[in-house]
Amino acid sequence: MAKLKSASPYIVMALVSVPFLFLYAWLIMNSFSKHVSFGLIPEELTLENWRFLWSPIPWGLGRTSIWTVLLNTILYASGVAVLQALVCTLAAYALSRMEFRGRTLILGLQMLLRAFPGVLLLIGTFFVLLHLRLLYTIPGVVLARMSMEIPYGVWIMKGFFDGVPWDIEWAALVDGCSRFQAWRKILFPLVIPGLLAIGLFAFLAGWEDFIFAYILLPGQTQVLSVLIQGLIATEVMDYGLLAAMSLFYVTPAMIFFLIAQRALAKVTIAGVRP
Amino acid sequence: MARKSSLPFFLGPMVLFVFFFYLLPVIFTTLMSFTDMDETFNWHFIGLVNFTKVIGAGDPRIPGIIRNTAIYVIFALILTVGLGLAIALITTHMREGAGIFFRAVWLLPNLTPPVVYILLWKWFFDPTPYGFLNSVLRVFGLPPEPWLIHYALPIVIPVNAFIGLSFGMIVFTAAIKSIPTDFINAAKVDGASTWQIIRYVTLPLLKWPIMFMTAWHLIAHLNSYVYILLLTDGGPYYRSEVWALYALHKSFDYYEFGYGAAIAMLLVAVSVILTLGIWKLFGFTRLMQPSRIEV
Repeated sequence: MAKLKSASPYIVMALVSVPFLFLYAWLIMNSFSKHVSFGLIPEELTLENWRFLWSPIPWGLGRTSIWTVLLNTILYASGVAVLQALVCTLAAYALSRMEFRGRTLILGLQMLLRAFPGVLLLIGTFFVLLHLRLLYTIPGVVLARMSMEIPYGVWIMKGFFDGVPWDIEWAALVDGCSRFQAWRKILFPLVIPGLLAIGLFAFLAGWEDFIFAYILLPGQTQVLSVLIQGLIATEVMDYGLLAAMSLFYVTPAMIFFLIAQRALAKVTIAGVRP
Repeated sequence: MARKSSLPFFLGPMVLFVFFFYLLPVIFTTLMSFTDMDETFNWHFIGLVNFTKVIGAGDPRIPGIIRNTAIYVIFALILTVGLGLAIALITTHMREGAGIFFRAVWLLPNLTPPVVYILLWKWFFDPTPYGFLNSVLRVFGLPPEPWLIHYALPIVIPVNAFIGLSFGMIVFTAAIKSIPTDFINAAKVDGASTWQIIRYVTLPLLKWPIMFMTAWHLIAHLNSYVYILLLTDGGPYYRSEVWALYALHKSFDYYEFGYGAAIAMLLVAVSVILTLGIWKLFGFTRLMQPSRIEV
């Protein structure tokens, strides 16, 4: 009885977690086999599902190859990452270290902006991009998606700047640095790990994004997420092909997540508190 | 003096982007909600007609969508907070390694891109005999079932809740781990059982994170639509259509930008009221600590 009691948390968790593991195992199994019975047992191992890597597939990728779509996805994600990291680092410094009118307003606004539903912003952004003549272009969707990450990035980076002791910056200022020089030479190197962390998460946000690309950059040959969604929406679902393509799409994201995790974990350990 | 000249450099880019891609869209959508704009993009103001259409009986779909949204938000909220808390409690009561493993499993939905996550469930509920559930039914000699057509809303709720659940689970686990062991040990010395410790020590100490997570997910679920769009697209016949998704459909499928904007505006109104209420509840000023010293 006592044994059963101590084992019960394991049994409960195993039971509720099995379906999940099942789904993911199926994804891997199915991408390498012709048929999968009961989700796990592969029949006839084959690489045929991975044919999209070397030849165009009839629907979706009629003319373009997967590599063009991959390149677009990388452009989209890295555009989001670089811009967001840069903009947030600059703004977070000002919000952490400078006193000016409207500071609390800006911080409060960042919080309030979170309350605006994605769907409302999407309708409005569609219109802004239309007027900027950036609708249905990669730069357009990068700018729109990147801006969505600003409130979160600013708050995180502000935390990093808050963690750097004032004395360090003060010493630089006493030694004759201007405010900008102190930021560039002293503070900026100290927050690079934070910059990398939010950059990586922004990259992931761009990589995994579906809805912005779907509305603001439609067409199946643009980015991976919309391509896969298009293939799901076709009449005949080729699960083997879909599984292979999904794996192709997910794996870099998972690797990036692990790297980002590590970068962020390092920061909290090495973070200097005054 | 130096700081005055460098402020625009630091703050400028953010202000610019927030203006163009947050404030301007909000202003545009607000103005659009008073027009009957369609794919010709003409600004033709019609006053409050869109809003009276929603609130009055002008749109026969609205009552059903309100009902779906209410069911969806309530049950998804119970699932996210309840299951998230349960998993956090169970995994903190087992060996460290096992706990980390199970939490990692439940983090997977959050790490998987939406299209892939939905693909997995599409296969799970596939209407053909090859889908997972149907292949199980076949073993028992039962005919295949079109799950996503017969049970659209009941399926959409947990599939979506599992996403938010990961976040709740992490927050609750961190909160449980930060409880000083002295409290637990004191209860143990007094002869409390595991259940009693959870009920009388852990849960009361988790009041704050539970309230915060409930408030957070209330807004999040109210505004969620991406996973529903991917899984059922609101179908069949609007049976799993929620408020935010309806705004999207009206705008980008029917090109009724004016009406879609009005629907989204009403969602904003509800969200903002709820957010302000939550701020009041949690103390806005505590989040706004100013910088320590000023040069």
